[in-house]
Amino acid sequence: MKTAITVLLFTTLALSLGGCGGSKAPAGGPNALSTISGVAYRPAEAATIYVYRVGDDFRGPPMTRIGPLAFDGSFSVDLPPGEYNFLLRQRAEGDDSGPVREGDLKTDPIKVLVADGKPISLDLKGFIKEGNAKESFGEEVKYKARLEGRITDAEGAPVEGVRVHAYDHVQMSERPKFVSARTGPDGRYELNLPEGGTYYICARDQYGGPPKVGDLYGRYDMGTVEPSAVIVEDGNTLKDVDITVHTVW
Amino acid sequence: MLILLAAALLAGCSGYGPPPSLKALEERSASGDATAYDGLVSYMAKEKRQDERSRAYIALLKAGQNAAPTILTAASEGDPTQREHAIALAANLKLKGGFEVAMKALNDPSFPRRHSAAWALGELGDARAIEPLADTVESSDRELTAREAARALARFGKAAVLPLAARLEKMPNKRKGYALRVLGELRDERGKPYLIKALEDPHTREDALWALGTMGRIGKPSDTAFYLDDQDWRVRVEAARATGLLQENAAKVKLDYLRAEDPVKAVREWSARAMSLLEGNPVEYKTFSGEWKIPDSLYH
Repeated sequence: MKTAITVLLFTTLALSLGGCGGSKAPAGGPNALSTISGVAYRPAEAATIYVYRVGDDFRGPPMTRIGPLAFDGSFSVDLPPGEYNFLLRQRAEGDDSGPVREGDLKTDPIKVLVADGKPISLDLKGFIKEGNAKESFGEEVKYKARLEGRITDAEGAPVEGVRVHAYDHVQMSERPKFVSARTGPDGRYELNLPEGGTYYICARDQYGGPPKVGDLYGRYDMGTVEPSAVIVEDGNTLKDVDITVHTVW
Repeated sequence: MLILLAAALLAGCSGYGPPPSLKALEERSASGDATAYDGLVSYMAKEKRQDERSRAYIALLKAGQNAAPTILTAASEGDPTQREHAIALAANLKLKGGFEVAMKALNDPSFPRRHSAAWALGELGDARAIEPLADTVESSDRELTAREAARALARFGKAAVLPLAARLEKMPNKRKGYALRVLGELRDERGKPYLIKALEDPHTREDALWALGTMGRIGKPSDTAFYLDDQDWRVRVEAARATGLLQENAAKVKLDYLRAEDPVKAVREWSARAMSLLEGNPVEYKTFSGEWKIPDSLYH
């Protein structure tokens, strides 16, 4: 009897824990698709491959992305005929977007010509980026203007880990023209600009694309529907350009 | 012994075990199990991770009207972060009773996220919110709430013009700036005299010019070109923008001068933009190194 009750109690516990408590894209598809497969070497576990159409801006969103890759760096993707650029990136901070910085893993763009239905073997060799020579905001750029301020949440607490994005057009769509480094624990940011002018700025924790539900996002604004401009003159630093971010509902 | 066994069985199936995972709650909610909603609400609390809060929020959004009682209760009290999310749900789902909970939140000084209530009232569109929102623009102790209230009022259209205008006199300059700009976005002739009056005050002149330009050619003409000579370069920028948007051809000569000679680059750029609007062709401004350059297009 004791044994029977013990078994029953165990069963009850299991029920309370458990009882009350994907699909993969088809490999073949239309004949027009070609399968590109290979290995990204280092090996590049957890890296991401970005596929752009030829002519696309590599700083913008890719046509498709593959990854984060498995431990062996292997990948496979089906693409229609066309010309593409493949780039491997693995950001040290773990972001899946934003500028590639010193210490990040990357490849140079690899052009791939995809013909009708023919599989392609493509191996990618990543390297660690050293120096910021290719950064649009490298040290060689002389800044003429700067924005400074603080990013806070709705209760006034500083927000860490967001970037300030500056756009040169009022729609604030597509990719930003300039992006700050992530804020630290004090929520402060500095955004160096190569020239003064009229900018529309926001702070967010993601990079690229419109803000989605759950993102942290906030615009600099004056209570209007249309974004408000920030105008900074050459040679000046505009201080206290503060932004409040909140979760996108 | 049998009693103990029954108690154990009851405990196992009535929530006395470990709390269900978010994934389990999402699945139960998706299958229409209303007992999952309270658990999902608890995942929107401050101590949860941001991604967990968003997943719970989306699950409740998908549950829709079925989750209304749970959402409305959460929107009325409790953890501010959880309450903020519940208010947003009530607004996005247009829940019956959403207006009442949003109004309660807007008037609750202990609720630090009142901006969400202001936003929700704009989304819900119940005209009873107009006066309280105008009061909020005037006197909220938080800038964020005041700005969100101003933006919410812009969603009510013409009905918001006079309540907002009536409070201008009592507003501090910063709030007056928000209100003036919203009056411009409301594009109603009745707001125009207030904008013209605000031109007289150097503290609100920039906002008033922005609003007049945004309002467009409605009602009596206003002499925005006069302010192209203002001492404050930010006022000159807004005056240039307004003359272009309002098609004030009489300003052309002055704009032509400013695009080459103003000591501030932004004024030169905006003067060129204004001339582009007047002439229908791209117009260049003169850089300080003497080159002529077309300013960036801000609307593309």
